[in-house]
Amino acid sequence: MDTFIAYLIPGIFTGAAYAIAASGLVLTYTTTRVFNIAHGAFGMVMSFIFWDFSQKQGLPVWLSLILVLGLVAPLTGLLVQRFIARGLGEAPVSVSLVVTVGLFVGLIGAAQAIWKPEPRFVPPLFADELGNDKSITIGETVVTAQQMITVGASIAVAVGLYLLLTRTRIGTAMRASVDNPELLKLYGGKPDTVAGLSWAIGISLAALGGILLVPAVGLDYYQLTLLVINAYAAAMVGRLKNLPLTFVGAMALGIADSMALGYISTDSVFADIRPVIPPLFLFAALVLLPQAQLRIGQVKGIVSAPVPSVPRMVVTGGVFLVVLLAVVSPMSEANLLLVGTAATYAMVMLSLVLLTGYGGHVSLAQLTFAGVGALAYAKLDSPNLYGLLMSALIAVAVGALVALPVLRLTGLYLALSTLAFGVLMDKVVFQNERAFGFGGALEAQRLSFFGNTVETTQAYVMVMGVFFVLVAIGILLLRRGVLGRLLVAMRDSPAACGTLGLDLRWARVGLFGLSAGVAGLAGALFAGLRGTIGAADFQYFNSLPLLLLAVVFGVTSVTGATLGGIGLMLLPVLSGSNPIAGGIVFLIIGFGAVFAGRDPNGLANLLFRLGRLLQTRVLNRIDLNLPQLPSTAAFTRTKTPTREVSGGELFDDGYDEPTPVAVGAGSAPGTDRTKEGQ
Amino acid sequence: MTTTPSRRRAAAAALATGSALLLAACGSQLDAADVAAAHGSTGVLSITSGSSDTALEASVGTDENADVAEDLLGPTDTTGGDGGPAPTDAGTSATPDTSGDAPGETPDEPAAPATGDAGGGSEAASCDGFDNDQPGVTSSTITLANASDVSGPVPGIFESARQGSRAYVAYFNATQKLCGHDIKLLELDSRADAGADQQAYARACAETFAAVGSMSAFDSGGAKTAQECGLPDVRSTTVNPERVKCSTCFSAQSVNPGQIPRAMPTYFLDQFSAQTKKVALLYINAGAAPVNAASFKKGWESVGWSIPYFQAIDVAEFNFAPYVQQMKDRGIEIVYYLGPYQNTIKVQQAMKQQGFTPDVYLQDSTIYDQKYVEQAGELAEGAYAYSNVALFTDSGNKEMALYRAWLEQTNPGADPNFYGLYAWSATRLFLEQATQLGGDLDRASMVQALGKVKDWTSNGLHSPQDVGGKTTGKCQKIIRYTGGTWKQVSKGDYLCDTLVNTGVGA
Repeated sequence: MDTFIAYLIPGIFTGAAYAIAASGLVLTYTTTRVFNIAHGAFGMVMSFIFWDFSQKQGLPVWLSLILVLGLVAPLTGLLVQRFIARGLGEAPVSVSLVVTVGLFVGLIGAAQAIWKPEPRFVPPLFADELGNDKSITIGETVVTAQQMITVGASIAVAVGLYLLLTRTRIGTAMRASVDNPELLKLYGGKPDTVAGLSWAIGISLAALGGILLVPAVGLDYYQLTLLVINAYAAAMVGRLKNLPLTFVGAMALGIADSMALGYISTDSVFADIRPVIPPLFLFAALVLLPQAQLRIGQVKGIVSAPVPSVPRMVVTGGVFLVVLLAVVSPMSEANLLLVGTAATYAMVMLSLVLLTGYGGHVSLAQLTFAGVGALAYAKLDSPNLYGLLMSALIAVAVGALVALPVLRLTGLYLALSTLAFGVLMDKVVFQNERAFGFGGALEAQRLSFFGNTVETTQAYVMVMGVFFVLVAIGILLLRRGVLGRLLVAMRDSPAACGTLGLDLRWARVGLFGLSAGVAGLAGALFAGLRGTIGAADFQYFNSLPLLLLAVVFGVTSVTGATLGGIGLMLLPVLSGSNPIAGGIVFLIIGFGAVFAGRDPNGLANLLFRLGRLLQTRVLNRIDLNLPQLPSTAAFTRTKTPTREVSGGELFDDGYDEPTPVAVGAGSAPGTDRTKEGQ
Repeated sequence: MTTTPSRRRAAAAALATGSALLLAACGSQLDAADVAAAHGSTGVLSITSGSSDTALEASVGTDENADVAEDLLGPTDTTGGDGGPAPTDAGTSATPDTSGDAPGETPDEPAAPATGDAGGGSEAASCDGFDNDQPGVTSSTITLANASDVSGPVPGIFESARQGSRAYVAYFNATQKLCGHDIKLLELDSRADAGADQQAYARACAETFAAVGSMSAFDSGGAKTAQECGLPDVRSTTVNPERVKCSTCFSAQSVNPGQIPRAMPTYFLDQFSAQTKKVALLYINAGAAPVNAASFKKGWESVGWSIPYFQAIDVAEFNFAPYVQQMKDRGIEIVYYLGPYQNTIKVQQAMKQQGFTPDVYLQDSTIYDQKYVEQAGELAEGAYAYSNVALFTDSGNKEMALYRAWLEQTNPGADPNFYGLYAWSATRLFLEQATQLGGDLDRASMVQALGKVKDWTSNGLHSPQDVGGKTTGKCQKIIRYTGGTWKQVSKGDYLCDTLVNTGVGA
C-alpha cells in the first residue's frame, strides 16, 4: 500500500501541474476560440521574469509573485489580446494556430535574447536558506510544500474558474462573447473587454503553472514550453470547454503516468509505452470522446492564390531549374548542402500546400512523414527510383493510416491528433533501436538512375530541384483538375459537398496519404543528400516552425513553399552565426508571423501583387510607347485577352481566375473578400 | 486626433507592461552577487556557498600561482612526445586573471603562459618540400577547423571544446611556427545538429587542412564527409558509432562504446563490495546515452556488479519521485546516472526529498564541472565521479597549468572543462604530429601518423589514450566532492586495468 501511495502522490502532483496548464488553455479557448499553442512559452517567459525579480534583483518572493501574477502576466495577456489575438477566433484554423506558433517561437527568441544561457535556479516558494523545501511524510512518501501548493492551486483554479464562468455576470459575458459577440454588444456587453480579461487570466495561469513547476523542471527555454503539450490531452478530455472534466483528465493523466512508471517493468514489452502515455492519452481523447461543436473546424472561403496555366508552370519550372543551376554551379559543398536542405523543406511545404492550402486540413506531423520516407529509403537500401517510389508509397500508407482513425475530426482536433501521432512516432518508432540503430544513424546512399549514381552534391541538388519542380507541377495540375476543385469545395463548404453526395471521408484519407507521400519523398531525397540519417533529424516539434514558415510565406502556393523552405533552412544558420542575433531572428520571425500569418496566402501574395503591378503598369506602359509596326501585329502578347489593365488593353497574365469566395462563408482576417484577382 | 478610452487603456497597459519588462531586463544586467550583497540576502547565494568559498581560496592561492608560473618558464615535460622539445623564441607573456576556478577547488592557474615547446617535445622534421598547395594552406598560414556545438537547443553546450582549441592555437603561434606557417583556426558551429555538423565538415574539407578539437552531440553527420575528402579529424571526444568508423577521424579521448574499462567498477567492487550488488543505472533517453548505458550495464555486470534497476528517463521528465521509489523498493545502494548535470541535480533533489540516501552517488566526468557544483550546492556533497584527466587544480601538472593559463588568456573567465581539456589535447596532438612530419605533411600522411598514436597523454594532462587504435582508455581515477572541493580518492595517479568487450554499439 505504501508503494501505491508513493506512486499516487507524485502522480497527483503531476496531474495538478497539468491541470493548471490545461485550465489556462481551456479558459482562453472557451472565451476566445483561440487554442494557444504558446501557453507553455508564456509560462516559461513569466518564470524567467519571476527568477529575475526574486533571484537576480533580490525582491522578496511574495512581491515577485504579486508582480508577475498580478501585473506582468495580466498586462501581457491584455496586450496580446488587443494587438495579436483580436478576431483570431474567427480565423481559419491554420491562421489561428500559426499565430500562436509564431508567439511560441517569438517568446523563445525573446527569452534567449534577454536572458543569456547560464545555469539558473529557482528555489521552491517555501525553501529555507539552503534551498530545501519544507515537507511532510505520508507513509513512506515525502510530500513537499511546493507539491502541496501545486495541488491546492490546481483545485483553486478549477473551482475559481468554474464559478467565474457559471456564477458571475462577467463569466456569462465571457461565454456569450464567443457564442455571439454582436448579440452581446446589443445587450450592452463589451466583447473586447471580456476577451481581454480572458487572456489576462489565461496568461496569469500560464505564469502560475510555470512558477510552480520551475523548481522541479528547471529554468530552461524549452522544457517548460514543451511540457504543456502534455496538458493538451487533459484539455481535450474536457473538450476544451469543461473545466471540471479537464481537471479530472489532468489528474487521470498524471496518475496514469506515475503508475505506469511504478508498475511497468523496464524489461516488459510495455516498457516503450510509458514515455508516450500523454500523446496516447491525447489521441484517445480526440478519437473516443464526443465531438465538440467547433466553429473553427474548417478553412472557409479564403481567397486562393492564383493558379498558373500549364504553359506558364512549365516555363516557370524550366526557368527555376536554370536559375538553380546558375546559383549552385559556383557553390561550395557546404552551401550546396544548405540548398539541398532548403529544397527538402520546400518539398515538405508543398505537401502542406496540398493538405492545408487546398484541403484546409492542418497537420503538425509533416516532418514525421518525411522521417518515415527517409527511414524507409535507408532501410530498403535500394538507392534508385524504385527505392524512392517505395519510400514515398510507405509514407502514403502511413499517412492514410493516420487519417483513418481521425476521419470525423476536423480543424484543431485534427491538427492536435497529428501532433500526437508525431510524438508517438518520435518516441516509439524513430528512437527505437530497430529504426535508426542504437543511438546512431543509418547510412543512405545517393540516388542512382539506371545504374548511374548521382555522385556529386551539386548534381544531387539539381536532381532534388527537378523533383521539386515535378511535384510542384503535379500539385498545380491536381489543383486545376476535378480533384482540385473538389478539394477546394470541401475546404470551403463541407456541408454543401455532403449535401451533394460527395464522400468527404475517403477523399480526406486520400489527401492525407498523398500529402504524406510528398513529404516522404522529400525525406527520402534528404536521406540521399545527407548520406547518414538519424532520429534527431525528424523531431516532432520541428513540424511547428515548418507550419509557421509555410503559412507565413504562403501555404496556398508553390512560391510560398519555395520561400518557406529557404526561410526554414536559414533560420538556424542565422541563429548560429550570432546567438543574440539568433534570438532576435526568432523574435522577428515569430512576431512577424503573428501579423503576416493572418493572410493564408502569406508573403508570396505580396510577390504576386508586385508581379501583377509590374505587369499591368510597367509592361503596359512600355507596350503603349512602342511604335506599332503593322508587320509585328502577329507577335503581340494579346492573343488571349482576359484582363483589363489601366491602358484599356487586355492581356493574358498566364494565371487562371481565382476561385470565387463562397457566399456566406467567413473570410480570413487580412484577406479581402471583394477582391478576386491577386 | 481624439483618444478613445480603450486606446488610453491599451497605452497604459503597454506602458505598465513595458516598465515591468524593462525592470526585469535591467535587473538581468546586474550581477547576482552585487544584488545579493545590496539586499543582504542569502537565498540562492547561500546554496552556492561552496563557490563563494572557492573564490576566497582563489585569492589566497596567488603565491602558489606565481610558483607554477616560474616552473613554466623552464622546458616543459614532454611525456606526450617522442623526443625532446623544439623550442623556439619566447612567446608573449601575460598575467591571467585568477578569478577562474575549477569545480570547488583552489585554482592554480599560472601567472604567465609558457614559452616554446608547443610542439610538445616532438622532434621537428625537415621542412624541405613542404607543399603550400594543399587545402587550407597558404605560404604563411595553415588553417585548421573546429566544429563544435555552440548554438542549438542547449546554447554553449560544447563551446569549451572550441575554447580549448583556440587556446592551444594561440599558445602554438606565440611560441613557434609550423614550417614557417602560423596556425589559423576556423571556428564552425555544428549546432547540435547532424546536418549542421555535415555542413561544417564540408566547409572544413574545402577551406582547411584538418579539423581539431571538435565536439558535437550528433557527430555522425560529418563523419562520411570528412572521410570522403580525406580530412584528418582529431576530435576532443567521439560520440556516435559512425564517427568511430570514419577512417580519417580520431579523438584525443578515444572511445569505443563496446569497450568498458574494468578499473572503475573494480575499485568500487573492492571498496563497496556489498553495495555493488544493488546498483541503479539511470540514463537519459537521448543521443548516445542509451547505447552507452547498455554497454556500461553489460560491462560492469561482467566485472561483478549487479544492476537490478536499469531505467531510461525521458528528456522532458520532471517528476523523479517514482524513480526514487523504485530504487527504495529495490534497496538500491549505488546510484549511477548517465546524462547532463542539470538532470543529475533533479535526480539528486528527488532523492533528497524522498529521504533516499544511497551509499554511493556516482557519475562520469560530466559532474566534474564548476557549473554543476554551483547549481547543485549541498547536493553535490559526497558525490563520486570517475575521470581520466588530471584534476584541474593539480598544481604539479604543468600541462594543466599551461592549459588553464592559455584558456584564461584567450577566453577570459572561461572555466576549465573536460571537453575543453581534450580539445586542447587534440590540437596539441595534431600540431605535434605535423611538426614531426615537417615537409612530408599532407592529409594522407597525417592520417597515417595519427593511426599510429598510442598512449597519448598530452604531457600528462590525461590518462593514456589509444588514439590510433580507437579503443577506450584503460585508466581511470576516482574523485569525490567533499568539503567544497573535488579530491582524488583512488590511489596513485590512475587505476589501470583491462577492457571488457561488451559488443554493444559496435
